[in-house]
Amino acid sequence: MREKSGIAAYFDNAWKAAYSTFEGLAVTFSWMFRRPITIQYPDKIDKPTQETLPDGYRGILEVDLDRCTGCMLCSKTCPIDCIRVKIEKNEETKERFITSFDIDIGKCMYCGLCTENCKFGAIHHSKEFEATACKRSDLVIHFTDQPRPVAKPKKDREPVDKPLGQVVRKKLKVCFEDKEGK
Amino acid sequence: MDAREIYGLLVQKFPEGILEFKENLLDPAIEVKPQALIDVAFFLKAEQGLEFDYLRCLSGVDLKDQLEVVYQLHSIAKGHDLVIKVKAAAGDPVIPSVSGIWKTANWHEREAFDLLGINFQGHDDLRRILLPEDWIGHPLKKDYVPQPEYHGITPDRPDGLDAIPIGEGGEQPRPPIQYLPAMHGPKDEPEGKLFHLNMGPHHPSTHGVLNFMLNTDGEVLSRVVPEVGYLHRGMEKLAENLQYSGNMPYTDRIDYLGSMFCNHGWAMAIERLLNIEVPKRAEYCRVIVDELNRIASHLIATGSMAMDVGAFTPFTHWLRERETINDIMEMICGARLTYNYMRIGGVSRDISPAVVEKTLAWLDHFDIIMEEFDRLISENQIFIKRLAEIAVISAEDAIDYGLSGPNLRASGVDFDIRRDEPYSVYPELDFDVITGKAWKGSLGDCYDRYYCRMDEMRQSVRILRQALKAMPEGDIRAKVPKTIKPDPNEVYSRVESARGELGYYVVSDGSPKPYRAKYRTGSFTSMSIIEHLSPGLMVADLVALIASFDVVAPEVDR
Amino acid sequence: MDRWDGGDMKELAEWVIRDLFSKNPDTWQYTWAIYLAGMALAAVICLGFVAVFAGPVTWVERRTAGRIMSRIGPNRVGPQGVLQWLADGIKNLLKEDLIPDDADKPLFRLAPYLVFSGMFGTFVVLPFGANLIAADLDIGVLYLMAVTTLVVVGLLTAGWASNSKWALYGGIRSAAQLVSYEVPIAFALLVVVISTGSLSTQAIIKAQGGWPWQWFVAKNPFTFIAFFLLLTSAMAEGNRIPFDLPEAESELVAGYNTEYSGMRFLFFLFEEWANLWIMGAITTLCFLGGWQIPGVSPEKISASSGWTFVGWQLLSFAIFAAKVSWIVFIVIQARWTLPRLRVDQLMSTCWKYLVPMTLVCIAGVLFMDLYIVQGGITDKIIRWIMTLLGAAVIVLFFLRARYNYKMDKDKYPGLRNEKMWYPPYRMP
Repeated sequence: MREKSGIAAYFDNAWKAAYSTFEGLAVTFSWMFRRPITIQYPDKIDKPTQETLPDGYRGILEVDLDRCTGCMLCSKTCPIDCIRVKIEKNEETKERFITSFDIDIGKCMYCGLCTENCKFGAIHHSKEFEATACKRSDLVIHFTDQPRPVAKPKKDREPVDKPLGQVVRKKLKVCFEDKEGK
Repeated sequence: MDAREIYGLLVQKFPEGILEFKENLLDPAIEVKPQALIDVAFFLKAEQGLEFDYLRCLSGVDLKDQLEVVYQLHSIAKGHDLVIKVKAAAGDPVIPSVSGIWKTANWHEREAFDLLGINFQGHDDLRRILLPEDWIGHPLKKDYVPQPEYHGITPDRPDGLDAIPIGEGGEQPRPPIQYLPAMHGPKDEPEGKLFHLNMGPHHPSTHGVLNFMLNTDGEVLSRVVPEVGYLHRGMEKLAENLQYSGNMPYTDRIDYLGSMFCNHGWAMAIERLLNIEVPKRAEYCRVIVDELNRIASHLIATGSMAMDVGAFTPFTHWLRERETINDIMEMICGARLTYNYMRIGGVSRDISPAVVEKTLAWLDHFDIIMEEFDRLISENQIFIKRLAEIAVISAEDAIDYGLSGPNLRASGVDFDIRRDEPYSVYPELDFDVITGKAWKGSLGDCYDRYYCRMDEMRQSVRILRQALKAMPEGDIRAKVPKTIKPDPNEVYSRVESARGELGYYVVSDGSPKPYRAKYRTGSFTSMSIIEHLSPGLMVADLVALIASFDVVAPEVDR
Repeated sequence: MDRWDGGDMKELAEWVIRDLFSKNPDTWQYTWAIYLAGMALAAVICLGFVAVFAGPVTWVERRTAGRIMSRIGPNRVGPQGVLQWLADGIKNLLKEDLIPDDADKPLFRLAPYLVFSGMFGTFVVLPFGANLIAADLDIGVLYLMAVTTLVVVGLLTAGWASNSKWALYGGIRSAAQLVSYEVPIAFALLVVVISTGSLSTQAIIKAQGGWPWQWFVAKNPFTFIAFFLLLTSAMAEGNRIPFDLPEAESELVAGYNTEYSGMRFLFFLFEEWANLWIMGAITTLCFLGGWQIPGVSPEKISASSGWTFVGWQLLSFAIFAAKVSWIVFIVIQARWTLPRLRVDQLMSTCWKYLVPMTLVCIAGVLFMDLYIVQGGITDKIIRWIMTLLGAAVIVLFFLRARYNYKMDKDKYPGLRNEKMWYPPYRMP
């Protein structure tokens, strides 16, 4: 581009300012007739956002205790220690029990490392993502209240057959609505 | 010239100063006596045929009885690398400063002083950079004891799953604060007619929490001192306490606009340590997400640049386009921002045909929108006048201050890690390296940095089209041992991130956790040049300058 | 009872005294009271008008900005969000009125009112319709220039009294900017004043006609350019992007109003949006024929009576408002298109571009007025050429906008049949 100088540069500058403003206005004016992309979350949407999310979305962790063999692999891989599993063993029957399975979703960073290591599809990401609480302790999801025996490993089962998020949705509801009620 | 030849040269020249040649390391290193460091460094920079003009990274390592400083050197002209090491006793670690030879060492040495307590002799401004002035101890030292509290802030979590364990430190006397450099104090005497102004840490255009201390004469700046560290999260300290694979999600948080590059660099570093071959399809997956992420990051960079000079609309238009990339990323890896997509030895999930189809469709649309964007803002005369001829960085300065990525290339330096030190499948793909062409003003001005990014997006589109077509079938993950325990070694791996060179210097000691991990980021080095550039600029130019560097605060502070 | 054929409030008051009270306005002892009532009435009408204009125009601006940015904009309060401004106003009224400890409190409190009165004072001479004007001053244009200067004082006071460095920057910038831009505005108005031969705003409008070729903008090439120069300068005077340096949010946080909150803050915003009307009204009355109804001369309006008279008044107001709205829309759209100038560029735009160009325009208009006979054949040809030129600019604009619209729509595969283009952001 050859540099203009003196009076030519002066008028060139003025002309370019006018012309580029004109072009810019034409672009912005054309947007007046295009559809906005904003989604009016959460109330004015066609269907729940959860349904629009792709498969494999990394939402709140969900545990299916019918499948959990109590191998503790998830808790060991978690880089942030947000999964705490307690296993107790009945010395007589040699049966192992999951006494508590807690996930602190306030701490979880949704990295997905635990789900990759779970061979039985017991822990997986749901499509739930709405979890607000007034206390951090409310963000700890307790997946079981009483001891329950660990599942027998069955490798040939489909990874997930329950609808994603059912368990955790119920848990979250209990967590938050109870607090509001009191 | 390879490291052995250089070692031969150095031994000839400095028979006293050179200690050892560590050939068995992945990046062979030359150990230099501290006394001879300055001479060696000067020789390496000035000698014909060596010309190590670019200091990539300077990292301190605590070897318990000794402290070590590692210099990763590169020559832009000759294209070769060299690692030199200097050791000092742990009790009184004194190492001469090389900040006079490579300006980029200035901030890196301050960081090493801050985190490891290494005293760099001859450094004119050796004070803490990431941590507050009254912090006790140097966190990356192996004998560091965490403080139980800092000004009443405890790491305690009273509720939640666990309380974070607190170190046994006890109350220690805190050094008195004479001058908090993060602010112009109320008692600061104005220098002459100058006006003190604190820009940040909370300011609309500092892109996160950065602080700039301005001395201004009316609207004209006479000096700008950037203060960083407000977002320091101790990523490097965290990495030392995590397994190699467990650190992957943490690397996402280094640079929230370019998580994929951070993943990629970390994966590459560990793969080199373990000597793993990554399957071809996985490499293609990596390149595809890298380039998508590069576009997403440049969209924010160019958009926010327009916003900082006052035009709001371009930013929202680019956010709209970025939203599609986020959707694609969500389909690929399940997350929109902190992807954690890559694994050591491959990637976590395969790229499905639906993703390929959607990406290709979006690319067609994006081409049009790029042209429209040019009409909307790039060609706007006010925009051009605001950026052209502002804060011109010469090629020499850019190399000296260790700028990287688009910032370096905008100054006319033809250096791109993707092409010059090829990794992944970049050699198989056809793309141009964009350098500044003095589009509207002179070479290396803000407009060049802006338009370099715009053109780089076009190149990324080109790469994406090729990669999506050429993606072979196959595995997406190599066989990797369950617990990753690399042999004692060290490695420096770098990727071309959207903000320039992202380097990981990883030292392994044979345990499942890294012994030391140093992250070299593009924003950190580009911040250090602001003080040099600022005199004579106006307040509004500073905003444009910061935006043109595409600074991401967490990447600066890590 | 005599018919009221006056032009402004003073004449209305005199008519009331003469015809309703059957007194001589020059000698009656209560004349002042009627005058006062007239003034109060005019003030209340104008204030109401400003409030009703400035409020909804914020909604218009935000919706326009939303569309331009492919967002939606406020759409929750009232149908399509039209009552958003009321909600905002109430919210601001109820907010805590914060005054910084170290602020100069009396000045801090005073500043918003100074700014507001500077803005409001202009409404004295701004016409709304054929006979709708508060006071048709002989020195209308001069008064306009004088009274807007009060805004500078207010902004500077706000910047200084806040005792914040950012606010001070904003205040100083606004002082430099507004004082400088008075000059090109004055010169651009002078172009019109020369053509009219009067400083009265009504006289300026009456010198033009209803049809586009009778407007001053089409009078000759110099007035055509002067129109754009006046619009640009008026945008600078109103602190709109690209000239919003006093409150440049990316540089100065919020500029002169950084420390303001609640109602005082609202006054600044109020001034900003009311300024839009003033901007539009000045350009309209000077260059776009004001309230002139095509095909109806001002004499015919004056000669009519009863409901016809009222009808003409309303029609003239509607025409005036339509023209002003058009200008306001352009200004709003420009705000969401252009980046902001730097301080020195702002000054050079004023002194190196606008001032010399307006001076050239003055010279050109003087020359044209000397050598071209009004109503002559040359005059008519020039007027037609300028009208066609203006039409061509507008047509070209729509063509370019259509091009932008079509480009994206046509090239996006799979979406050609969509009635309205939008990207598949959520592909199933």
